[in-house]
Amino acid sequence: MMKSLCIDLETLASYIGGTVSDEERDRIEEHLADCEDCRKEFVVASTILNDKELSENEGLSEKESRSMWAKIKEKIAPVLQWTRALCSELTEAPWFSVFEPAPAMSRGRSEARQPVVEYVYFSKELNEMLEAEMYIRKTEDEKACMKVRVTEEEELAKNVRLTLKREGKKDVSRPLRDAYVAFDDLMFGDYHLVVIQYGKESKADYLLKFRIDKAGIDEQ
Amino acid sequence: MRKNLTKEEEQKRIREWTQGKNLEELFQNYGGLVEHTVRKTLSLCHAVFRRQDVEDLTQDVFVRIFEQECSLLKQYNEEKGLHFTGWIKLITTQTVMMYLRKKDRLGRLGKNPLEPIEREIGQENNLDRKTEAKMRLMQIEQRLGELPVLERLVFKLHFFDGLSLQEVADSLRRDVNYIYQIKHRAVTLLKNMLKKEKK
Repeated sequence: MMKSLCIDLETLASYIGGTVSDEERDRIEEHLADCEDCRKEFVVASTILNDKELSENEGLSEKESRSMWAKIKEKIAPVLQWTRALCSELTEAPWFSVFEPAPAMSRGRSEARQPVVEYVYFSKELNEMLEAEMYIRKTEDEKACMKVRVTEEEELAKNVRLTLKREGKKDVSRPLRDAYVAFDDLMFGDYHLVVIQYGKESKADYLLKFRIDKAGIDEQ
Repeated sequence: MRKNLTKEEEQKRIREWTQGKNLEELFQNYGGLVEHTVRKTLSLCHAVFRRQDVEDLTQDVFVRIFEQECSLLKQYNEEKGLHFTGWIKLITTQTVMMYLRKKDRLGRLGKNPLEPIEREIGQENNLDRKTEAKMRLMQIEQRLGELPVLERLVFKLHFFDGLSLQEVADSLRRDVNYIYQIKHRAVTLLKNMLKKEKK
């Protein structure tokens, strides 16, 4: 539908896609004939969509893709909101079985009785080799549990220790020995997660800052 | 490189992306397409741009796609007749146009559609002919509003925006012969109006 006097994206898509009614088509064309901005947008969009030379399969180089995605992630960081899903839906995600090896569900149960999970999953590149994967699940009111796994070239990273800090609380520090490190009973609030990897002669540490709240995870 | 997905696979992926899942995969699949579309749109608008502008705009497109819980993705409806890549291209061109409008760098597609014609008139050395051409142009602009809708639209798309009649026909989903007739009628009507005015 028209938004005020100008044509919105959905209407433009329908017009270009040829799915509008005759009446709506007349209305859109009347607007295009008089509105300079909408007509320019229509001309460019239509030229682009009809351009057979515009390659749809050519991708970005790996380096370009990595750096661009890192910048996009920085810009969209605050949008990691809690997602609600049935356990059975989540089992399709390759990372889910790592963090929930035996989810509390059985295939025989009806959908309505299956547990619903409110979660956030994201990964963060720590350096060119190391990547931290975080799965945070809402447990009860204003609490969450967090499971963190650090990988090095897709294998579980070695000699890694994770320390979770929260102001006014005692630090919780655990080595990464199994598939992940779990931090339970986390009250909503600001956290710092320090990831340390010990080398033969040196150690490298990385800091992740985030807030857990009602809306989700706000990377800082 | 965009993976070649079957229709079912793509529909499943789109559902996941609209729920905010696997957004990196969406970027990996369509990052190249968005970057190419950004470049092409900037070229179409005759904008002067640097590599950094293309990169920034490509990022802006994805930020727009992901913001407000992927609301732009949720608006996508295959039944509206546009493929998902078409929807992504549409979001991209709109983002670039918004950026150019903000920067006021629309060039050929700027606020004054008659600018290229006026520039041409400006190169005319004969002062009488130059004045006459300018006056004629002003008269045409004034009279355009009196043309029927389709005649007005086709005239503007062809003469102001530089689309060929075939391109106008493709864009408006009409037969090219019909568009030719419409353009011919628009020109005749304008000529008659101007003749009357002269008398």
